[in-house]
Amino acid sequence: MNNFGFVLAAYTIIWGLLAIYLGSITVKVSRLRKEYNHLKEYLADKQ
Amino acid sequence: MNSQYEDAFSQDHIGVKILGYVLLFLMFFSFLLIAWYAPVERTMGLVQKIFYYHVPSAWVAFLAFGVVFVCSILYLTSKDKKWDIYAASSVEIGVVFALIVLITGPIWARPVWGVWWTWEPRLTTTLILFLIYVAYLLLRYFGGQNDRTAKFSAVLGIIGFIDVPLVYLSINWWSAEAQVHPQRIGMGPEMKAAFFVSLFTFTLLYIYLLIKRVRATHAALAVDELREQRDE
Repeated sequence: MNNFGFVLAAYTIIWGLLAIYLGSITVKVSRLRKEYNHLKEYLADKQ
Repeated sequence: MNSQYEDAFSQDHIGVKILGYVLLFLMFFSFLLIAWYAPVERTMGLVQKIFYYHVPSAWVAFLAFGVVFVCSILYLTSKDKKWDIYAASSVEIGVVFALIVLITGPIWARPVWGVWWTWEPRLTTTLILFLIYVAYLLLRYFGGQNDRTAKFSAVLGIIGFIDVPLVYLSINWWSAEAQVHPQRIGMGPEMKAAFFVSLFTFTLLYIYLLIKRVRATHAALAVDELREQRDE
């Protein structure tokens, strides 16, 4: 692999890891939001 | 019926949105500086460009673990849960950036040193730093959501920080013969400009990720509160 390949690999890994991390947080909050709304409705109906 | 953490599900504050757009611009701008403004280094060639992300990633890891250190002390002294949340969130981000350092370092090292890895002081202490905070995450994951886990985590967060100055000062404390990691890197003005813009960008990125991660924790706590109400 020439030097350009090493640089490309490094940059891809850096931005890939950061995108995956930020994406995982976003997905997590989205799922929690759905569950939160569902629980709120359930508790409202229960009352 | 509503959780005290319900705000976690509302829209981002305008400041956070602006920070996000500024970050997008800075990431693009710093890439342009690195790719076209900073010259190709004479000895190492194109592969030296990894430096502009490798070193800022290390800086962010140190910053993140420094925040963990401070927040852990504040948690142990005040018992205020918010410091525990900040500490745990910062550890995660620090581990991500430490992982970036540990991956980009060998990718840079291979063409320059001829080896992917060597057990020299800076690399070894950086790996230890990474493992300490992975241990923190494992403790939190397997210890459960309780005060005891939070206290033990805070202690680990404080003790683990001892390795940060070790990593940074390793190039001074060990003899030059024992090291392959460069002692100092000389930079021309264009390189300095690209480096400091990248450093600033990564610092803002840390702040942005911390805000997002704390928010995710608040969202999880909000759901936990409603689950408890449901199960009553």
